[in-house]
Amino acid sequence: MFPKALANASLRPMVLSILADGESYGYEIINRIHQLTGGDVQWTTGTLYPFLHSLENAGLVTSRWHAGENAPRRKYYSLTEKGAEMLAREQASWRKLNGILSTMWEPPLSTDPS
Amino acid sequence: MFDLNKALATWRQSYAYERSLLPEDLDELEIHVRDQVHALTRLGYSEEDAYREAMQQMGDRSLTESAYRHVYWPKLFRTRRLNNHLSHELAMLFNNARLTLRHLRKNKTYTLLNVVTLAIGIACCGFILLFIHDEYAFDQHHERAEDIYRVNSEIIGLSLQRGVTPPPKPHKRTPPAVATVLAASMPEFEHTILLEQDMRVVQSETINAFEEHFYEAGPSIFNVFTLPFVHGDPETALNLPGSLVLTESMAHKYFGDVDVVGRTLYTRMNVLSVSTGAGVDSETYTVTGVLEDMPPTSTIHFDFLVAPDYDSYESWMDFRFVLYARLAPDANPDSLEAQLLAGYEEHTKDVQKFSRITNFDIERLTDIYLYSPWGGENGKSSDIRYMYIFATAALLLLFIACLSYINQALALSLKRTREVGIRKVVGATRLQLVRQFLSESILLGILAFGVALGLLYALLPAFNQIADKAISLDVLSERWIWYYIGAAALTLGILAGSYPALFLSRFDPITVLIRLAGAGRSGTWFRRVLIVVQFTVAIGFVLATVVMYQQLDYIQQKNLGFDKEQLVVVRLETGARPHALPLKQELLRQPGILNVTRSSGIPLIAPDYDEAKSADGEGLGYTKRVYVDHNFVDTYGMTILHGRNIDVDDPLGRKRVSLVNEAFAQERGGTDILNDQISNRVGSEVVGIVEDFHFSSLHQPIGGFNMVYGVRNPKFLTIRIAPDNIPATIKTIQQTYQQVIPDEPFSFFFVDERIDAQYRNDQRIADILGLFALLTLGLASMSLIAVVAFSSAQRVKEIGIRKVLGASATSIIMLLSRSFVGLILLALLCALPLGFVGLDWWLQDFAYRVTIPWEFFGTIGGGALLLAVLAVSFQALRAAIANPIDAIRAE
Repeated sequence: MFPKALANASLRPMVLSILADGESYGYEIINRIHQLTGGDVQWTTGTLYPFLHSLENAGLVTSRWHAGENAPRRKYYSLTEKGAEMLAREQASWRKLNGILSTMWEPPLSTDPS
Repeated sequence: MFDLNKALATWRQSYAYERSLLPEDLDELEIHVRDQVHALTRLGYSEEDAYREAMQQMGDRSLTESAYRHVYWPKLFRTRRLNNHLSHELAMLFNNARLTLRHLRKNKTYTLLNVVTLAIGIACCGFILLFIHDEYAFDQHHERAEDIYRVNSEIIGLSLQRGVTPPPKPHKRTPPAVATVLAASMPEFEHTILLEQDMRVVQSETINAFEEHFYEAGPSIFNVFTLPFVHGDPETALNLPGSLVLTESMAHKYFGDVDVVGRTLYTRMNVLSVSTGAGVDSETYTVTGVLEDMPPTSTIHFDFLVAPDYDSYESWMDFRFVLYARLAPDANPDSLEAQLLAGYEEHTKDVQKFSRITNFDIERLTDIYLYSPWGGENGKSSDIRYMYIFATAALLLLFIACLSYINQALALSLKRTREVGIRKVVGATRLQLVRQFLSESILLGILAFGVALGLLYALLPAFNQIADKAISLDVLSERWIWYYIGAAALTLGILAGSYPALFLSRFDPITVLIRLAGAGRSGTWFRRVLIVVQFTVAIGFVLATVVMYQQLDYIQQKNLGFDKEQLVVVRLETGARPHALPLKQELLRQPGILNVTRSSGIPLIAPDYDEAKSADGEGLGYTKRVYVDHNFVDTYGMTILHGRNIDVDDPLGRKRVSLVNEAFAQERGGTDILNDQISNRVGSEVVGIVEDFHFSSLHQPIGGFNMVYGVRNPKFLTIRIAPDNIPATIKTIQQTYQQVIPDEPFSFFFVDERIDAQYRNDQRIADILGLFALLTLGLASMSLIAVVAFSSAQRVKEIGIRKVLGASATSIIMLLSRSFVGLILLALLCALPLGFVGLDWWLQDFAYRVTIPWEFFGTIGGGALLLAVLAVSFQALRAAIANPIDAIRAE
């Protein structure tokens, strides 16, 4: 399990990344996160949906109710332009952080000439 | 059989009144749960287990609600539903108000009692706040009042005998050189003013009167104090000798007008011969300014100000003056005190002195009224401790009123159980019920404030009379006060209504609708604690009031060592003094006059205070001294214990005689002092010892007193008059005076009235606390009635069954009363030690005081118990004589 702080910090980029692949709904999103993290990041239903609403309040996502083919009426979320920009910034930040940490944790070069 | 739809419906219902989850939020969550159940059933879970798993993954309910609340308002704003929401809230508010008004109209008695209870508490608080506001307002009207100070000094008299160290005596007076030499060289003293009070006869063309508030002061007085001018210029008004500034009232008195700049007034001061009108023996002044009258909240009172006839006075020995100063804002009074002392010692080391200043005390003007032992120049003073007492008493009374409200609300609550049950059944949440009941208490609070304001307006004149004040309600014209009143009404309503609201909303609908026993049982101990607290406070107030009145009665009845009844004192000004003997002789011929004596001082008005010495120069300590004639002791009704009284034929001059009091004699060998020669400014032989008498208030112990025969400059004529037809006798005295001394104004006072005035503050406190005692007892009794009513209503079935089984009304009353009698006894036990400690602290202020007898407490406790029993019995009797069939009948 990831530490809670890390899980909290990564939720926004995760959700925005999932929505970058296309419109999705809450149950699908939470399952996707569970699959991608192998269960290391677990969100309760009661906190994910308010998080989605906060993204919507911030203008990063938008939502609509519609019934799919052979599917009941659900609330679908999709990424806005602002959300896409935010995702790009998140990606840049996380990549940079990953690079720094990777550099710090790379084993030293061997001095053995053979 | 598990039904998913039913389970989800129940789950949704549990969120029905959680405002932060909108219906579409619940839709979204429901769909999620259905998806999850569907997925889990495909994995082999039963529908019920899948539902449970889905609910578990929903997470903690409180966290869920908190998360939704966090996004609620922005969501409303984003979806443009904010207006709808606010409209809904407003509609709920109006609905609450409508229900509240309906409930209050339906229970008029309850409403009236509660409004009156709270209104009494609020009104009393209001009066006390106005009183305290007025007390703290003293001297605040001056510009930069916080920088105005009085310089007091601590003085010891120097004895020729080495080793004699008399006690240092604090004074509010200071030698003028402290101002003109020391302070003048210290930049921290921005302005100083030396005030010398005079008592003069003031004369215009038409009026001739004796004035006490006559001051000599230089022009810097207008730089120190804020004295607004009606006419004249403060820059020049007191620049020249012969200038006089007077107040509007005095201008009206002497000239009938206010615009009197340029008019002339005459005064007589150190004049030993009679003069008629303006003559060479008078001082002539030209009016150069008219001031507004001093406000009632001022410790300084100038009626007349005249310019001194000197530019600078550098005496280190003259203690006639009071020194005020305006200091720089950053001045440190403590360090200035040390600097002044150092400067004084440096300047006076070669000066021959009969007294020495050992310390300076720079006292803030705005502290004088409440903290200074000498009070202000007009003698007005109070005591900061009284502010604490009154503020505590007011808060306690308001607290008692709130407790009384709570108990009454709870007493009514049993009538509302059905209402609460039905409302819960149709879906009201506890929060909604709490809001409803709080709305009622807030509305009652607002009503109570309205009634309290009416009480304030109506009763203010009476309060002013009790408190000896001139308070007005002008402060209510300030807008800001209404914000405070509104906030206070809201707060009071919430505080008083919280417990009843929480209590009422807690009822289980099943229990109350089928009238199972137990509704309202919880909280019994809390209600009883309220009763104990209320009666403890009420008994405490009663104790305080009774003991205070006992002390005041003791003061009034105490043998003062002289007979204060029917004693009239006529003050003799300089011009009248040479005529004192012929006036005395003429008065003795008049009907209704029993005796007359001349003296340089009287027991109430501090005589001279000097060191006494024996014949061989041994210091006998400081003592008060007056010069008297031969019938001083007889006129005052004093008792000679040893030796003899002064005889008219006793010699004067160097071989004169004197009488001393017991206190003086006891410290100096008792009766051995008889026939000894003593020196107390003048030498005399002690021929008699007089029983101790009180020459100051009973706050002070009796000290030494020396009455020396031979009064050359009598300042007072004391007259013992017959008890019948006193007004006629006073008229006779006035006529005789005006016949013998036509050119001097006549003024007199009664000795007993002057003595009573010394205890005005104590009387004021006793009267106010007495009123509080009555009110708290009343409120506590109302509260007790309410609690008994509640208890009776709870036990109505039990009482009914007991009656059917043969219990008498008496036994029912005993049953209901028993526990409450115990509560009152507990309150008494709590009040006794608190009352004893508090009263002992107050009585320490009196050198002569009553002892607090324990049986007194028993009487008061018995009285409180009787009152409580009556209150309980009234309600218990109603329960006892009720028809038991009505009580037992099933729903």
